[in-house]
Amino acid sequence: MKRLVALLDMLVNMLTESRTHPHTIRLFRRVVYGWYLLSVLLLAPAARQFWGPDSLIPLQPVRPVPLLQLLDLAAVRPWFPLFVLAEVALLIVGMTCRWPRTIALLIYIVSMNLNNRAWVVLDGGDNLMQIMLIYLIFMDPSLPDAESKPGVLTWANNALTNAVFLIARLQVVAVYLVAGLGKVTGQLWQNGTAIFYTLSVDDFTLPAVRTFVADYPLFSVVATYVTLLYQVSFPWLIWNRRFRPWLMALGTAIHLQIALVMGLFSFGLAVMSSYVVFFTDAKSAMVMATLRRMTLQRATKQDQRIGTAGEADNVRGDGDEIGIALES
Amino acid sequence: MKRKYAVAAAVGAVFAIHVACTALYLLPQNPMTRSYIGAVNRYMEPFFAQRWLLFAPEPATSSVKLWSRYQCGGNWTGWRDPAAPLMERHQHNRLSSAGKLLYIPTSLGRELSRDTLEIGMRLDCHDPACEAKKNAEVVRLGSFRRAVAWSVRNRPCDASNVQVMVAQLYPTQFSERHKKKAFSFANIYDYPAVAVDASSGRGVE
Repeated sequence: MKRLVALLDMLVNMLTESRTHPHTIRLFRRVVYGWYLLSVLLLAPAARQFWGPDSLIPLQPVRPVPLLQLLDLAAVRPWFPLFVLAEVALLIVGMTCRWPRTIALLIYIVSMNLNNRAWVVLDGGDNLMQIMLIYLIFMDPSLPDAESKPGVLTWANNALTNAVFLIARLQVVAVYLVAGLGKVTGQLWQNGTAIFYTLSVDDFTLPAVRTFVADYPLFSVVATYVTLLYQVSFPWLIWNRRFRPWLMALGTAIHLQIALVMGLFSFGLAVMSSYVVFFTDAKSAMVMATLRRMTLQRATKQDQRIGTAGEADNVRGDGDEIGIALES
Repeated sequence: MKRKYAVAAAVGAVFAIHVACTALYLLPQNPMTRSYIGAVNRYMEPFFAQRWLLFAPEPATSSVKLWSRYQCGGNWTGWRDPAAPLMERHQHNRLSSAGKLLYIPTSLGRELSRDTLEIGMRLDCHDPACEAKKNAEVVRLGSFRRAVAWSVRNRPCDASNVQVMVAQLYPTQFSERHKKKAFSFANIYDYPAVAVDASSGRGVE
């Protein structure tokens, strides 16, 4: 009984005393918002066709949450450029981690409005990122602060952040579990021709690749079984720290193929982005430090180009601020 | 310590409910599904709706195209895929809006096929009079008008009439992979030609 109580105490303390992955959460937030920023900027040149009043995308038959489907209203539709601009501005602020929860909530609302209007162009990557946007509302991205006093609010904040972070990990596992087990029963996945057929369909191939899979059937057979094995094993092996880097490297290669060869660019990038939740906190801190160094180096090079000491000081100041923003 | 336990219990309960609902929502249909799915859907659908059958159980084995032909200066052009330039752009540069723009004609083709099939099954035509009634119903469909609008927007000439066709193309089968064919077989459904007027290129809502 005493051991059970001690175990429970340990669990409660682990959940409430501190946030387990502050750097990872911060990095994950930036990666998810970076993915959204890239997506909206890629779609922006054809914005009218996705969100405009003359868009040929039909309205969704149901409106479960009207606040998330404002662009379905004829009166609001002409104002779609404001939604695009708001999305870009909010994502940039979101990446600085200022006012994290309010900004995360606003990003979710604006993103969902854009997504719901252009619903026919969404894929599994968008679906995954939409869910991650909700989780980000509940995750505190600030780094551990010595001044935060222990108390109900701090405990609740830590517990919520830790629990939702674990939910985000389980969400990625759920994606692979469902997709992997779903494939196991598929005839084309079983007989090793799934990748051949996928890379033969006009929508998911390149002319040279179509010829390649026709000429080298061994490639498509091996690729089919490797993909199947990867998806089925991911939910179990990802929790093992020894296998994790190898698994994520293989997953990155598969999703790069999906992004660049199959042309599902945003999907491939979305799944790769979600891998960040499996980074250890030390690794995330290292990645952020590297990014900060790169930012500082770029600022220094800019200094040298400008040449004047006074201007150079100002630029260096900006770089430091970015560094502080990354760390704080 | 009591307060800390209370906080942990509250957050733990939310965690458990969310994880359980997600698991039940994603489980394949089973004899118990009916007993829980209503409550689970009410929790999951508004914000956490998800489907992860990514190329499962079978991968994509066909592509849906919306082809068009146009009457320009009294002569009909051949059937063409107005999305072909977009596809070329998408294959040339994966980092552009072309990939997502291609979803629009594909979804228009799918929507139109689905609506037409529904009308066809309802009317179950066996004579020309019924076919005429079916065609009259089809040209009033929102999906048909959107498909025409898309074709008109991508017209190659100053067309007076336009006709659309939904083509489902199946790629070369594995056993015929050495035969250099553009596709193995196709399901084709062509629609009545309609006049191009000022409103033809507009959206339909």
